[in-house]
Amino acid sequence: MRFLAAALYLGAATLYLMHLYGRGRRLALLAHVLLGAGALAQLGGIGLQCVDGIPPLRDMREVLPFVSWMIAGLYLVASLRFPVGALGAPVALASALVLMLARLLPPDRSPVQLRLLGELHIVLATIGAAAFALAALCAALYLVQESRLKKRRFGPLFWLRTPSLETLDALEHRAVALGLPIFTAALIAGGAWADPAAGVRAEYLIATLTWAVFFGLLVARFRSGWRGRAAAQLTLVGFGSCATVLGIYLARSLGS
Amino acid sequence: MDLLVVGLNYRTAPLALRERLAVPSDRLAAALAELAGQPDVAEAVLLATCNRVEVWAASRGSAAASRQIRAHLQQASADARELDEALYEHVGSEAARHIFRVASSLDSMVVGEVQIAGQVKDAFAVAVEAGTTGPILNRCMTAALHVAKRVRNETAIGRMGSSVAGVASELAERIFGDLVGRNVLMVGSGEMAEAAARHLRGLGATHIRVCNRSAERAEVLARDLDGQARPWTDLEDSLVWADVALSSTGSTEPVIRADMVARVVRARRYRPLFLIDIAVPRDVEEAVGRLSNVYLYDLDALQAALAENLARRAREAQGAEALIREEVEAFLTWKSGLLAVPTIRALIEQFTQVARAEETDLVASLPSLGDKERARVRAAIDGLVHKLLHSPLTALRRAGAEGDGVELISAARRLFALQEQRARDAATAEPRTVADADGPNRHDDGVETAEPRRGTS
Repeated sequence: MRFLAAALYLGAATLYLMHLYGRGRRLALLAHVLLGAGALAQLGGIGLQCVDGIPPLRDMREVLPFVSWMIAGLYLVASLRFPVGALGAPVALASALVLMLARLLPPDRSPVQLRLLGELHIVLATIGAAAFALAALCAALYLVQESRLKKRRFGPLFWLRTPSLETLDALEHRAVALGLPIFTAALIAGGAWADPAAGVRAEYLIATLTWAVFFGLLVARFRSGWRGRAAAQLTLVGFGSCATVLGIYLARSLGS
Repeated sequence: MDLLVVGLNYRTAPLALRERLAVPSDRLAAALAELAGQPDVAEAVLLATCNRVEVWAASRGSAAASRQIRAHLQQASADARELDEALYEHVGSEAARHIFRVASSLDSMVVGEVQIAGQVKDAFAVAVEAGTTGPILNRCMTAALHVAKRVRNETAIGRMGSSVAGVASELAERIFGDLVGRNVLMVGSGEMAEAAARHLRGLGATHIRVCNRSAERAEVLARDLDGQARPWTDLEDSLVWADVALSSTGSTEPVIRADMVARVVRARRYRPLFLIDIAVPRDVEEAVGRLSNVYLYDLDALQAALAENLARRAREAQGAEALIREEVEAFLTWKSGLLAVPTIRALIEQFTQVARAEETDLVASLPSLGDKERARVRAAIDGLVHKLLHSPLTALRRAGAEGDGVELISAARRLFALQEQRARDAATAEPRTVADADGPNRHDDGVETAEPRRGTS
């Protein structure tokens, strides 16, 4: 099922790229269908796992596909509200790559038996990370577009069918606004679940930094409407620290 | 019958001549009736725009039809020699290609402009209303509008601004997306800024304010643009209100300075601001462009963007030409098939008549036949007719589809003594309505039996 999903994501990415270059408006719709089909295939895979008694998210090999699925799903929901067809290409590619990365990981030989709090922490943290990933994709595209507009670089890439700066900024903000409360709940659940004897670990500090960055972004936006290039850059910093936490767990998973 | 184009355009004729030949809309139907009344002109459409006057015709003999059309156009022009030098002519596949190129804006002064497709559609509607179209032009015009849509959707040719105002609008869309409901501020009263404001208004940016040192001038312009006039002292507040500001004053010093815009950006909560400075000398300090969330474009920058757009349009035009070649081929294949259609119809009709007559005689001579037996007799006779016609019909359809079956079709008519008048009547379909023009029925060759579809062997 994951192989099918990855293939569908790659197909969607191809169609999104073609749409970007102005070859047919229906391509975006077809790409959405392929992306949705990939997300459904993944959901089917998760369902089959549950039926087989294998809990989802038991190790990094399961967490990454979940992140991939959430990114695709959040993007599809966002595309109902925002004209973000052009974002589909990086979203579909990111979903496919994360899925394929998960495939490369060895299965955890001694998966930890998680209590409810632990499972809740992982689910919430994964959803939050997926929302931040979507915000980061928007921020990256925003910075590229903004730079071209500011510097007046009118090469062939300038006129691609990309979302407007306001659309990218609005979606970025919404994704952060969605992800932060979920991530907050994840941190609280994680704090309650963590073993005090283990002490303060690096990933806890970095996760807290992630939270602080996104919290600061939202507060600045709320108080003074702060947005634009600096906000997009800070979003990337926030996602970078979030990805670092995932990276630490990934490295730990590979080492065990 | 062949397709014929006779006309002149902005390349071949000066404005004065095009003006003389222009046909007012209330005279179009009469002009079409005169054209279609010419002995060798079977069908006619007249396209009269500010940049071209063309007659698109289906002719029984293109040389004679061309003379007749030229004579008709001559009535509006005093100088026969000037007209003769300005007119061009296309026949057959070249005529189809020309019509498709015109409808797709590839022959327009500004390649990619969107008005021409609507003008072609209107010309077609008038001709249909006047009853001067027939199967050839109905099909051709429908295909032309279809290819125009394909070119618009499948290439980027129409998506790039082709004027300073158009480019400014496109840049605004890059920043804001949909311009519906956006606020536009005009600072000063320059013509180019006014044109850009109108363009933005056309895209839905209907809230317009005008700030001018002269209150009277601001009122006049605001009334013209259906906006509001504001005193010059309100400039900073108006910049807080605006999403797009177009500046074109006659000032020798900048009127919009960096410190003012920095305050404006904070006051508008960092929402993006697009400043278009069309003035020479510039109205906006250069340092303004370095502020966050402010996008400043002066005349040089807009013209650089415009040059890139026009170059890109030229590249996209190549893709459009390929689409047009494809559609011309499809149209010519259909037209060739048209030769076979009346013959096939007449053949089927003749055999069916004979079959029915024989059946009637046979049944009359065998009064003891019951209903079941009569049905069996009919089925046997119909089966015989289908078997006998199968090979000749297949050969005729193939000849029609491949476009080289004139001899075979002619031979079939002689062999089976098919009536010429019946064949002509069968070819004359009812004119299509303009509503069909947006989606041609590519499988309609007007014959009840299963005729070959275009594109299949």
